[in-house]
Amino acid sequence: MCGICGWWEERDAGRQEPLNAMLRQMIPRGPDDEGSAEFRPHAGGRLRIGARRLAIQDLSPAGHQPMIDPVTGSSLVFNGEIFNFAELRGELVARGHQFRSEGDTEVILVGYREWGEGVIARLRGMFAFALWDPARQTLLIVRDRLGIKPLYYAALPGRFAFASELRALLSSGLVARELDVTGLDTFLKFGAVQEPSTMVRGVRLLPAGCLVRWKDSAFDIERYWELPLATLPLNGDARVRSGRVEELRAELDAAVRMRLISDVPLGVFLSGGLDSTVVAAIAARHCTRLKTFTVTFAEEQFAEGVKARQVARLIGTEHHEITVSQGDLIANLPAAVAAMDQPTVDGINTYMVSRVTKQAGVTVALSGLGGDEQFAGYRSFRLVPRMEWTERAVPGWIRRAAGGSISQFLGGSSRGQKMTLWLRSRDAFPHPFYVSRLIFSPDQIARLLRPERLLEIEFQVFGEEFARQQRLIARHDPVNRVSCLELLVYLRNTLLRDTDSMSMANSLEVRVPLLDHRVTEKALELPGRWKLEGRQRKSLLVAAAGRELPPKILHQPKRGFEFPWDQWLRGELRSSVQSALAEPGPVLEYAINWQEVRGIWSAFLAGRCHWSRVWMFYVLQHWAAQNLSA
Amino acid sequence: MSREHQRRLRVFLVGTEFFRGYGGIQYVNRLLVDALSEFAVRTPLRLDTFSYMDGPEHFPARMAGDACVRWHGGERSRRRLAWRLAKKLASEQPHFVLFTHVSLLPLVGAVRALCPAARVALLAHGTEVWQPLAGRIARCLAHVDSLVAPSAFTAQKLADVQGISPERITVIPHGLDPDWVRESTGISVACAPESGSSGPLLLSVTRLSRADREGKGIDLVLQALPAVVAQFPNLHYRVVGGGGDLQRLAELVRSLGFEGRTELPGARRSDVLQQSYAHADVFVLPTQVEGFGIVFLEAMYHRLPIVAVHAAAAPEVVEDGVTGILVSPGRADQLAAALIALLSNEDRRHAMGEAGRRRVEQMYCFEHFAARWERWLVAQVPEALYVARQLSAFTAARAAAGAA
Repeated sequence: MCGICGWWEERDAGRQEPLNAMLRQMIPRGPDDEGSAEFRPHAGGRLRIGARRLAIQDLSPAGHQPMIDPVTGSSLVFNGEIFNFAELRGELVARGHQFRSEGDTEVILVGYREWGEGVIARLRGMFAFALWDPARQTLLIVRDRLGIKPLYYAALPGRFAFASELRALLSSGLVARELDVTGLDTFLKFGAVQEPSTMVRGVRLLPAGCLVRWKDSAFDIERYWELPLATLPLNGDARVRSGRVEELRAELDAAVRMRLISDVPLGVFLSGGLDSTVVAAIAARHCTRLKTFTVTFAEEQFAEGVKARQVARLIGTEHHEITVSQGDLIANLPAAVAAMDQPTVDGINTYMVSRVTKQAGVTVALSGLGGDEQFAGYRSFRLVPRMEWTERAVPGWIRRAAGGSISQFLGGSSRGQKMTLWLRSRDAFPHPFYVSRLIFSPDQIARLLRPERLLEIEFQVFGEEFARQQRLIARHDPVNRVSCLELLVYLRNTLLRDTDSMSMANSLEVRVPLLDHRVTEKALELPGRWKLEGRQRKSLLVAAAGRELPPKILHQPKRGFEFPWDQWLRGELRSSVQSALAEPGPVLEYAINWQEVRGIWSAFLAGRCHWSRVWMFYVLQHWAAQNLSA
Repeated sequence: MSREHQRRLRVFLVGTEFFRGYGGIQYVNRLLVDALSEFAVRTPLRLDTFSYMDGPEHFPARMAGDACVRWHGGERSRRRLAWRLAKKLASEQPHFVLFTHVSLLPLVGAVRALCPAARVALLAHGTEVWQPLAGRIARCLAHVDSLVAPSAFTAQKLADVQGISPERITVIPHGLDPDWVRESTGISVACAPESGSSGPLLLSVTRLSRADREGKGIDLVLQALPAVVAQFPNLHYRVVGGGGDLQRLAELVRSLGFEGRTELPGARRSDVLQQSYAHADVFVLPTQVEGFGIVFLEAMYHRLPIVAVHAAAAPEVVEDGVTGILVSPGRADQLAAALIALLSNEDRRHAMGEAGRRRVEQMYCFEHFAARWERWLVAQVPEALYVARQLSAFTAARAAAGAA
């Protein structure tokens, strides 16, 4: 795991400081090593690339970055892990290539020498890398398929910059610290900025599964991977089904197994939930002394220790419980908020778990992230298909009329507002899924933003992404449609981004085997009805990987890993949130009608508003004050 | 209503007259249609314009093919206008209805009854709202959500006389017609002035109606003229504008013995009027009844120093001592002194003319006018605009993806 960055400037006077500033900003991502290199493209100016390294595989200096290919002169900076590197290395050695290091970085470099850009399709892992090819005079920047590792870029006249962190680009001074209203709009909608937008004007997040080719001071973006385009038309034949489930089981097994390779201490996050239990159970089959970790809370109401202990005993791991108190959590909140690369409504729990896990001596942790999205673990998998059916079956005028009645019946509650929005404005979004994930409705956002800023929102950026998503889901069944959208919207823009920034802030690498792209491809090809059978949650995942687990564990109700935010915001955090929301500060004053925000705080105190709406503005206010200028 | 139409921000503009006449109200109405039409190019907006006086023959051909703008003429029948408006209110359910004259306010009831969610606004121009309104119209005014005035003076009158709370009122100054500006670039001072005179030329441009006889102040200029002529024997004075008071003024000029140096050519085409601006040395209009004063903008655009009075909206448009000289209302002696001061100092005239031109270019061009109206409209219906823009972007993206 690392942080990478780079910068090309047409009229370069030899400045080193922007690159150094980016590298300094990313020290927590890679505390073990730092390196940079400079090139002079034929197009003019200078290109510099740099990396900070968190050594996970091949801890020797041979893994230093930028890594230069002695044969072609290509240079590579790389963030992430290639889990099938041993297999690729064997293939390359068989073709006569030699290696100087033991890690995965050199596999990309030598693979590029052998296969060119074809190496990307062979990589299995989580990655973002930049490769300067002097022969083609091309800088190739690639981001992994599912968006596990981030990569931001800014293309300005006579200048191109990229980095693993948005804040690294800001610290370079190469981009202005200006708020992007389009990014803010998506943050208000979903609680996290939706790619490719960011919170900073002029900076974009490279979409997952895409690559950038920069050449002769111009660049183009190409998509190299996409989610499966259709659910397979499988009938109920038991043998066919058994064969497909077995294939999925094999992929899950391989995905977990190859993520156990590490030269530093490794463990598995074990919450006691189904996803982490499945990951831990598979890992335990391949690892003799597997360590599992559970963060438990001193307070009874959100302790998860008992279930995790039962699972650990059953699968035979060396189990560790890390107990934190509410006081510890609250004391660490400022650090957690400060660690956000972009504002997010989520992420604090990930920060806390990463922090205590790292303190316990672990550098790599496996997580069950992605299970809910691919195996129908959320309520949205039952709700959204019903909404789809209603849209098809009930005429628009009846829905609009019903919207008015429901609005009155449910009052101003968040649920009532969402129901009303969906019933009354079918066209507001291209699919009801988006309404199910909304935090603020378009009406509310229009009131929250200053009128003069409304015209600055570039809806077409998100519109194009929506259109792509609609094309993607068109040939899936209703359950898999939700799966695709959960992966593309919530997982990618909230969970994965938070996991990256919060774990990296603690120099911890989190691996997500359930999001191995082959697992994803298999899971989305199989019929959605296999995932929602009977009373068993995530029935397909259980069929594929949980058959050895006892029913007691399989049938445990879903339990979210949530802090008691509502209670905290009314109690321990009330004064700090109240003072933060009193004034917007110059940056947010420019964009937000702060009177509305004060109204949201009052509504929360009166019990008429969900805590997440208040927390969003607290986070936003802190993030803007730290990172933006008026 | 089609799905395509449903996705747009729907705005109704209801006015007395747009393209038929050439007064200040028609001027502003036309400008408003142009501004909203331009906005519709950049944002999903559908504009329906309802006019009391205009017939189909008055609507400009250039807008005939505009899919974002539709015309509904009342053809001088209030009943026909009301019927057409009611039908469209019921079927189109606009988000926003703007009345551009207070006399049309009785139609507010139809909006409230047929389209209760719509936001309703009124554009006030000037003198029509300076006096207490008749009972029925005053009652209708209470149902208007927001008001626009072209000047702070008129806004204050709305608050003081009509009892409107100030937060409901927004001041949006008028701007210059872009066609007029384009036309002005072709005007050459080499063209001979209408009269053929060679001395200094004072110019007034105003509607000469009997009702505004006192307010417009042409009589006051004639009173001041002898003192100015004493200093500048070759002085000429031209008053451009038509109206019912023209005959009386002609007789007054004759009785004062100024027929040789005063011209009353009546209303003139725009290009002829621009030649008058181009040849004049000073623009003088001691009016006390201007809700804004578009003629001041026109004169300033032609780099003319202005002489006006400290009354109504004139001090907001003319910067005293910078773009012109403001004197006390009704004081012919002060008016004469100001004219003499300007006519006898070419450098000062030039400096004020340049300052006036700068002021117009910085504050009163069509772009400024359109941007102010745009901002105001967005603030009136932010929710509808947001949803319309979002839907439009999604639809366009989907269509583009489908085509690909």
